[in-house]
Amino acid sequence: MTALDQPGTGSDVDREVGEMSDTAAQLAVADAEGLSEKPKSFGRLAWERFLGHRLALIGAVGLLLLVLLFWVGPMISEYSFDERNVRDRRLGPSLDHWFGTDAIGRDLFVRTAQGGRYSMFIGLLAAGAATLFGTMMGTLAGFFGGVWDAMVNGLVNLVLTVPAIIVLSVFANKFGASAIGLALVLAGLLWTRIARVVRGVILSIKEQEYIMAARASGASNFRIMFRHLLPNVVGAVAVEITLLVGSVIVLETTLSFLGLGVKPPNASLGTLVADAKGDIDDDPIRVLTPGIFIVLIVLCVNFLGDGLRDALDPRAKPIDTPDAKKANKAAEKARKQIDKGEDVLGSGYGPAQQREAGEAPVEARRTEQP
Amino acid sequence: MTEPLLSVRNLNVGFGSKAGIVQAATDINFDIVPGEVLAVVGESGSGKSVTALALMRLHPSNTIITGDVMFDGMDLLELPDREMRAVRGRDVAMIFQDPMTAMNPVFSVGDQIVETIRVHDSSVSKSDAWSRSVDLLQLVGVPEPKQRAKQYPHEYSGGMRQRAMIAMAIANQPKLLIADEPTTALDVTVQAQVMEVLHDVREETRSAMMLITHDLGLVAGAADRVQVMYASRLMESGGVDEIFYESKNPYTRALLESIPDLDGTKTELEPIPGNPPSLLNTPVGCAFRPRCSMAIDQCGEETPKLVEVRDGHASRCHRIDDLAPVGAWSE
Repeated sequence: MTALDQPGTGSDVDREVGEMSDTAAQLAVADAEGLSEKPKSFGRLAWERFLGHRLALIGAVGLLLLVLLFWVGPMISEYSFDERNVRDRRLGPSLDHWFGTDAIGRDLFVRTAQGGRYSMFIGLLAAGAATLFGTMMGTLAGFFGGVWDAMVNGLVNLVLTVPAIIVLSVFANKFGASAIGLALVLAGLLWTRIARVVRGVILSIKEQEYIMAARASGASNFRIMFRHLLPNVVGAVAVEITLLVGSVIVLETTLSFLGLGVKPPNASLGTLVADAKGDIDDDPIRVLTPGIFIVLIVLCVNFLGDGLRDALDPRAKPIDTPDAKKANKAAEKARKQIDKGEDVLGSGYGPAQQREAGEAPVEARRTEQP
Repeated sequence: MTEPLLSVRNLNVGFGSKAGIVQAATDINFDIVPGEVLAVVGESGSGKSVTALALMRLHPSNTIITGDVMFDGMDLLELPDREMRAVRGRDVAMIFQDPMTAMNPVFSVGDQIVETIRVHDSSVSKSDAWSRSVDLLQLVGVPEPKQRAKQYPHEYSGGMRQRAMIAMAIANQPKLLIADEPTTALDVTVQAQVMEVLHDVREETRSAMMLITHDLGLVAGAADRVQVMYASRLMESGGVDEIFYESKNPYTRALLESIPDLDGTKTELEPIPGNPPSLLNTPVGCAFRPRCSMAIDQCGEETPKLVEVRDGHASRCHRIDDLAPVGAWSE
């Protein structure tokens, strides 16, 4: 076929052109929709990014289920956490006792739920207190520098030098009977990481021009700290909080396992493991159940933190949002069509024409960026 | 003559460094009357921005300042911090060079304008401040201001961001705007638009403006008076026509020579040879001497004084009288 023949191309090419323009039109429509889109609020975008984050969703749903199990579950059960049934000692899981019973005949499902509640509560409380204090200290150190920085750094180093396990043993033993006491002892040891992270972020953003601009518009130090600096810290801190919740729960269960935290008859996931450890040969399930729940809680919390970090970053690109996924799918589909020999991009000189001219067929280039 | 709004007398700004004191602004004197545009022109490091920051007292802690800055009956260098904060952003507002970095990435543009309004008047309700910020965005030519106000700085283009910066600066109807190279970071095609916006906005608010720039083209169109700085000192100051057509200073003339010419009459650019001197331990004599085609022995022996050539036109040069007559040099 020569160039002269081209105006009267056969139906084969016509069909191809028709298909091509269809795809191109689809792309164009998608593009136009993207442009004319109304600006979404930050909260909306954060929510969408969060929803697009599969692990975060798994973490959130998992936590929700655990909360339901721990809070609502015991209501269904007819047993209470300290009710002993001497005849039902060391029972395996059954319809009556879902997780079995312990050495003195207490229902392990109810006790696991109570332990889970306890661990979650302490985790949140200790992480909250540590974050509050750590953020305050980090902000002071980063913003004012000089003497403040030296003082906070000294304090951080002091806390880090203190042998944690000894301090915890002493104080957790003294205050550990109450959840709040135990949480505060843990917070007192764990705020340092937050303080360092916050200090670092503040140091890097306080030299930004927008802080100077805020000053030039008449904002006071106080206002600059609270309105301009702290919001920039939220993303970094949100991640730290979740990591902290995880490590607090691990620490708390460890302490309780060692008998330094929760006191009987109350249960923590740690004491449940401790209670069962003697029977591990006969009844490994009693050790495993609370252990699995510890892992589940910490895992879910960490997943959630990952998602929060991505969602709360205002500079984040909208990757992983449903829209972005659709856009990427459309692009990938077009690339495949090109590889199959369709002139998707509508240059008028596509693979079909190239075949005619005896040239090697084009293939769609893949970008390196994800 | 009208009472000046801003009057700077014998302002010196230095920075402590480990090698000694860096003299960043030396013996600066100037006035700005209400509604006037004063352009401050000079190479990088000539002390333009330092002067502006010193007026606002936004300098770093290793800065040494002497002199007087009278603004609207207040001595800005003596004001207690609290009162100085009230002046910043309300009476004197600043537009920064780089709109990419001068906005907080975690606030929507509207929120940032609201913030500037409410810093100074917390009695304004949030919704009132919001609708005012939408009006302001409209005024500076941001399309669809209602939606745009909800967007974040990274969703704005450079030109739009600078418009938003201007909106923020004029939010409290300041008497004086300090624009520190407002168009330097922008695309050439957008520069003219932004200057136009600045002009229109000043018509609205009747603010005076101190326009800091190294772009002489910008000055010609926008300024009433021009002040040329070199190596921390004022070299020449005068009306915009006096500077452009009757300059009495070799440095100003050299600057004008180095501008490309669009008519094509000038076939080659004439850059100023050499570099500006170090501002650390500056020697006696005219700072421009090593680069000046007219330098004589006297230039190395004593620092020339700023001499009034005509009312309102002053130049710092030993050879004012020997300069070629107007017109001859520009050929």
